[in-house]
Amino acid sequence: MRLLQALLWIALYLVLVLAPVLLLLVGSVPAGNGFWVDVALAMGYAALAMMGIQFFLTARFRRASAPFGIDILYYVHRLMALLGFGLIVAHAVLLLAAKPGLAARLFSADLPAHAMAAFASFALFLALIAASVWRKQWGIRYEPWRRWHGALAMAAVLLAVVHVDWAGLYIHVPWKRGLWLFIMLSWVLLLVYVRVLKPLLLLRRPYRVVSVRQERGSAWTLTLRPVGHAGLRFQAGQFAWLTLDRSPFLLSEHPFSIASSAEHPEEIAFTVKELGDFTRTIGQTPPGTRAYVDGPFGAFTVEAFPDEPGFVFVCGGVGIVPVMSMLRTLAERGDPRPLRLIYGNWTWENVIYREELDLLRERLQLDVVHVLQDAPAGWTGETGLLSQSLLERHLPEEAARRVYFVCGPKPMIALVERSLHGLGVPLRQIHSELFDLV
Amino acid sequence: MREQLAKALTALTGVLIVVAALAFGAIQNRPDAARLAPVDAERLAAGKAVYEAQGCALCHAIAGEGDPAYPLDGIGARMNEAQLRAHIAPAADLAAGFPEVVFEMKQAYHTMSPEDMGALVDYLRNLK
Repeated sequence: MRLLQALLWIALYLVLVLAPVLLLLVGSVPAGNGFWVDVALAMGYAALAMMGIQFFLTARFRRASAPFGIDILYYVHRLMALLGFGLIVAHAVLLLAAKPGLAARLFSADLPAHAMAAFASFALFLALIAASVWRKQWGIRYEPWRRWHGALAMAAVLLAVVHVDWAGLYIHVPWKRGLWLFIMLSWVLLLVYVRVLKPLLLLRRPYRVVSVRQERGSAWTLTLRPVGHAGLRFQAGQFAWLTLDRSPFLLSEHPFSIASSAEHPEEIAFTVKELGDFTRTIGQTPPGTRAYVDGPFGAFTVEAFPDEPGFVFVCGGVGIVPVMSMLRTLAERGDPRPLRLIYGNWTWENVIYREELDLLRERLQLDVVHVLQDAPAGWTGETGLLSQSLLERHLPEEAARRVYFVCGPKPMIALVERSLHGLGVPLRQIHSELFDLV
Repeated sequence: MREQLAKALTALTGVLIVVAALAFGAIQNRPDAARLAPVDAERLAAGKAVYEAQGCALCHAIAGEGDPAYPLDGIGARMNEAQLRAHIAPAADLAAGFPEVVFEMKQAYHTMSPEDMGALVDYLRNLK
């Protein structure tokens, strides 16, 4: 069912990219402009359609993200942005190659207005993509980047729409012109939904921070209670965007995994590691702080597999958080299925939830395998990377029948996925969560 | 694994777009022989009726009838279907090829129905 839904969404995506281009060939069609010019024009139209749909990919529609997990939608958003920009470049290069006279006009005084709009749009797309790809290297903070990202994206797409409209190629018939403008402006309006309507809805569902507890490994657990509403119904393993002590209109939200049990929507907890500029001060959040929670999101959950014979969790560091939500939930439900946790950390002192995991072993059929990079003297457990040989030693019998949840740093996920597959676990049995959304 | 699928979807999207763009270019630049259906007398009469109804003779002449400033005799030998369409209702990027007034006036022909446009073009391309 989930696979069918995913395929339908993918098909819809491809239709939304390609149909507006092929629509240009329906009904009254002007003369061709030469093969390569028309190829370039079609690429330009497709690129614009793709850039428009980017607003949909990041609008966090639960129904659309459910079959995939929203983390992967953001990943697709990044890949498609690069592809779309590549098509824009191809559009320009092909046009200049096919119409040598154009190049001479580029820097002349009689540059048409639609070409100026194209230049401006191209420059904004370039800035948008460069600032996103190299945000961390350039030291751009997440919050201002996020605000500017949306504004630049909207401006770039609107300028591209102006370019298309003023150039007027293939949209000379009023219905085609109207339809193209309608489609593109609809995508841009999604940004209004995300930036205005959604924050308005969040304002009506506030939360309060009731406790801030220090965990091992420079992590903090914030516990929130809903104010005036029933709280958030979520599935164990999902995550949400958290806004602390700011208006939801300021776009100061950050995605964090939910750590608490799905059995208790009336009290929701997030465990956050001190990593970036926002998380560095999270431990200083005073109880009573106002908060907003946009969620839940994600498909990284045991709840999608009620009939599977058991689960194996492979985590690195703070990647334990969504798994902890699953373990706590399964414990509260008295789930009898066999569970195995293979948990990698740098040092023994930094093992988040170390003590609680010991307690959970008594309530669940849970085996925990700790793996340390820098083991203390006298350590007799596993050390090193979560490699194929290490996993082979600790996978349960009938490993191929279990469902696997892998969460941690990206290289760790890649290594574990490859190793599990190498040990005969079908890829469809392996689920992972990408932490690095932006 | 999902990352690999995401990359595969992106690659598929790219391939489909390139194929669609190539098809777009090919369809729009087919040799006229493949695009044009034979024109019968009824079709020619329909085209002539459109020519008259649109008042084309106010600026053009055929066989001496109309404004001789822009004669259309033999136009079918000089222009193919695509060029005829582009000249009847020029798109914005062709503005430089026309006097400003003429270009503005011709914009009204964009509202012609596809049937009327097709009949008019068939009529004109048979003026050889």
